[in-house]
Amino acid sequence: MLATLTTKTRFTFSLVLSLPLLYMMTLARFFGDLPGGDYTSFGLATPVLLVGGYPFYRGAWSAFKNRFASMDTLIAIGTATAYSYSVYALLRHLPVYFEISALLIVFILLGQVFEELSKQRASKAIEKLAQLQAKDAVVLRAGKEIRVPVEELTRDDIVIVKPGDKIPTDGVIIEGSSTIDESMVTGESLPVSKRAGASVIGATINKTGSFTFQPTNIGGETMLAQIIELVKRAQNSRAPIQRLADSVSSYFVPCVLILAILVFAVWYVALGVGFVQAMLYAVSVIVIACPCALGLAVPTALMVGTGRGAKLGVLIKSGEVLEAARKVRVVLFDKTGTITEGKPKVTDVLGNRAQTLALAAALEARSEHPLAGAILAAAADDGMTPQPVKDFMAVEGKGITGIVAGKKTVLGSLRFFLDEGIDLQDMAKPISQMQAAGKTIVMVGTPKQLIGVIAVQDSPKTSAAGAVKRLNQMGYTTVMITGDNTETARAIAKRVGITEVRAEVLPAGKAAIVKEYQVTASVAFVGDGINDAPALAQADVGIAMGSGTDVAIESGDIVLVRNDLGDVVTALRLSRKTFGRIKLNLFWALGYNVAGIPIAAGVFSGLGFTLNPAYAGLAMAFSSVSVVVSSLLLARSKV
Amino acid sequence: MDKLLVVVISSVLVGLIVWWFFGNKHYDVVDSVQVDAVQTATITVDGGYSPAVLSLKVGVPAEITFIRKDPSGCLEEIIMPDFGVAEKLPVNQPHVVSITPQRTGEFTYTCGMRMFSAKVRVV
Repeated sequence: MLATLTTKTRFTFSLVLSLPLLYMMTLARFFGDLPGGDYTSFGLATPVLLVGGYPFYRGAWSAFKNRFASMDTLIAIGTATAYSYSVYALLRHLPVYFEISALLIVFILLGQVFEELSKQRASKAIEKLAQLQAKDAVVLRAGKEIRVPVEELTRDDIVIVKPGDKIPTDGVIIEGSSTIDESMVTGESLPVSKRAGASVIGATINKTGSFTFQPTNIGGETMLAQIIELVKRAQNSRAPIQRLADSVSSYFVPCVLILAILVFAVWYVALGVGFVQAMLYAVSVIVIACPCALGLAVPTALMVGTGRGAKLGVLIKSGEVLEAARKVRVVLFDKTGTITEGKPKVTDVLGNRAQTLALAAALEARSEHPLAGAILAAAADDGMTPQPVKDFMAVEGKGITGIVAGKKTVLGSLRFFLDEGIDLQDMAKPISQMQAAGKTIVMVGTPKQLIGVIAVQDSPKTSAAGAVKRLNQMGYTTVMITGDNTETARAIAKRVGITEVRAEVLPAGKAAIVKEYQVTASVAFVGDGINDAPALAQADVGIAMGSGTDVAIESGDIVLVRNDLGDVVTALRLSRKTFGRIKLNLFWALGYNVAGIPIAAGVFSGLGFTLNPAYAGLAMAFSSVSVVVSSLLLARSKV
Repeated sequence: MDKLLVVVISSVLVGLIVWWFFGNKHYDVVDSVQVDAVQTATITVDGGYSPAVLSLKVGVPAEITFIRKDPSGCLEEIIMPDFGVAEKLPVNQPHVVSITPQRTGEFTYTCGMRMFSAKVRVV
């Protein structure tokens, strides 16, 4: 029975019995003792220790048997010492200290009740995310609409979504269109328009239209499930700064016990105070030294910080990332898809448009290059279908070759053509003009002759310039890395406010450039999670971004769910703030012990400054609560 | 006389504390039991974790049953940072934690406040 009571019940029980004891301690000298005097104190304190103190004694004993010492050890020894002495004093008709042992238990239980409440609040983020999950879905089976639990969805289902419905899982729209509120998962405040072919995210809300979609991810694979898993891991990770606290904690309690014995001996033997006073100093030391606040300093801040991030669409993967992010001085951006929209469009075609586009489309149909989509779209707009290609060959980072309609055809960058010694004829000038305007040049020709030039432009994201400006203001060096030629890259960089550009970098070279910058500073690399994995891994902080279900959640140390560069600022700010809070908490918790122990030990008693063990218990309880509250305040700070 | 007694008793107590808490501890190591494709083990939570070292096989899903006998709030939560586990252990009810160790090594897990610790050794 004693073992199963909740902390709250123990606290209430102990509080009720301790109130008369509190009266005895404070007001009895003015209004007189309670009937029964010290025997009443004994009668009230004993059940408080038995019921309220049970978990501490039980825990301390079990730990002792395993040669461990914990918080319970300190509380158990502190209260038992005051109580046992009081029983002895009662029998010898000396002053008793039952109220100290009982109130100590009450205050510590009070601290635990508060701590439980605040911890529940701190861990709300995950609970809220989990509650977002839809419970059922309407699917089309054998021509009929039926409602099934989400657990029963398969990838072959056709799911029907009507206005106001919660989208049950991740998938791709087959038919219909709508606007969708994705704020709960991505943090994106404006509803997003979607039509056939677009991907939808489970747990988001369909606003206006109706559509059908086919699930792509189900169960634990959905974006929401992955986010929950990631946040859970981050919240339970360790921050390196905590290692000290971790290694100290196992030695801490036995050291406090030794210190308390020394305090007692010094006061009693060397300084000649009475047995009772020396004992009270020793008990105060034991009580005030409880390292609760120290244990809570890091995990609660991590929990609130990462939870806050998840709400804003910024997924911070661990405590280590926070510490690394604080040291970052240089932010390297990948260009395509990160600074720019990643949706290039053909803007100009030099030479014979039909011939140039037809040859380019034939070769690009086999390519995976980001520009291929733009060229194929332009060809399709002109009513062309790509011709078949033979002997297709890709020259990484430079271009492609193949045989189209029986003729060897070459497509690639300006550098590729110059390396091959192909004459640019009269196109050199317009090419450099287009490059100066930030357009990417794709050359088409035979091994000997230039046929045409296609200019493709990928516009910077609307959020890019603002984000770069803020990063520059915060003192970061911003750099853009791209495979594009220097002129195009500079034009884009100028538009967003980046002055340092590393252009014409082959995909494999990005990680090497990150390394180069790491010689002098800590580096964050911002790129998409799929193509930039090596650079993301090399950087001190890899920030992966994408949009919706395309986010590669596994890559990067920080994942931005929305495709918004402003979130890079949020991520770095939130990391700095959370880490700052961890440091503040540790400082507060450690400082509290460092300052509290000498006061409790009676070092300042000459100045009339001492601490009764019961108040030491109260102070200890509130040091834990203050650390948790400090972490909770992180949820309200501006990022 | 009583002052001398206090000095002697205090010295003995300090000595006992140092010996008991900082002296060489004996750690019991227990291997998991593999049934079909799952390895299982039971850990008793009572003033610490017993066995103090649990040996698991790499790559094999493991189901570790924690039985918390200790009502102390200190041991209420179990945190295995390397496996992303943070769960509350009910008193006197078996609680199963499922993990799949992906790499070999020794991984420390602790109580919520990181005062009690034990290890998972992945081989």
